[in-house]
Amino acid sequence: MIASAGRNASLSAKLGWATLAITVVALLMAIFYAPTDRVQGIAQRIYYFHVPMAIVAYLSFFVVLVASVMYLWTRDMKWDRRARASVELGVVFTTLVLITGSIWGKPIWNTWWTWDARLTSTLVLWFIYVAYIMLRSYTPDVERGARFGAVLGIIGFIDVPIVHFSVTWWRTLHPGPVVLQASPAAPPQTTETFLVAMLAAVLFYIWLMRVRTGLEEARDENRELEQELALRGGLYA
Amino acid sequence: MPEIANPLENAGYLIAAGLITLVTLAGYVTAVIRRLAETRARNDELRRQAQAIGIKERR
Repeated sequence: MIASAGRNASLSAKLGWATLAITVVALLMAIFYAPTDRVQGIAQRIYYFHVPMAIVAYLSFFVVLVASVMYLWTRDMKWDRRARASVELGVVFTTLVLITGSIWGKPIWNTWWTWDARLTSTLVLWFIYVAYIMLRSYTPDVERGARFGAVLGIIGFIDVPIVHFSVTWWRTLHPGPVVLQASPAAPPQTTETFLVAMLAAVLFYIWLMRVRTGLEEARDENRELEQELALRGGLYA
Repeated sequence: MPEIANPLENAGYLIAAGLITLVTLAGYVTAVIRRLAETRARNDELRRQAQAIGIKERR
């Protein structure tokens, strides 16, 4: 596992640098290229990282769903490692979505927080996957933890479509889809900037998933080696 | 929607959100890379110990 991680290190490094370059381009486009919103002013530009992070959080939890199903089906720990890695990334992105959304809400809604359907369902999503991380850290039996985690990873995903469609199912303060909608169409600079920011966010997720999964592999291997050494009485410090 | 009266204050929200995002992600990436390096160093040490008492490489 470590050897294969070494072989893939060069690809990960290339992907990391490409992600960084595209992120810088997205940042420059968001500051200098995208037009300033007439109503919301400059704070609207928060949108260029708030929305891509929200979509990547959905992607993270979708990967958890797929990995959880695959783990229950095959009982192969590689799927569990992918789920563990993706949950953490999803929680990091959801945390930032909640924070940046709240900062955007203050000048636009005149409040940091409101119990709107989109905000509330996103907060519930965050709690579900924080619970996943807690469940995993408090279950010492690895296979049992993987099984419990897989069940929670599948059930927890139910909230993702609720979050996504909350703006159409309920009357919410949170705006609905803006980019890629036919009418009223967003200015082309807005759409282009959003798409570049989206690409940067997806590449960042893929790169971080590779690194984070490598960490889980190394941890699992260490645990196995420690158990084996303890059995043979050879483990020291 | 409150009137956007003060562009400087409005820019402050963007800067705050941007900085929080950048610092959080940079901190997280640094932590993951550091943990990976530490875990791999521990892995090398465990492999040496395993070899010393004759446990064969499994992979």
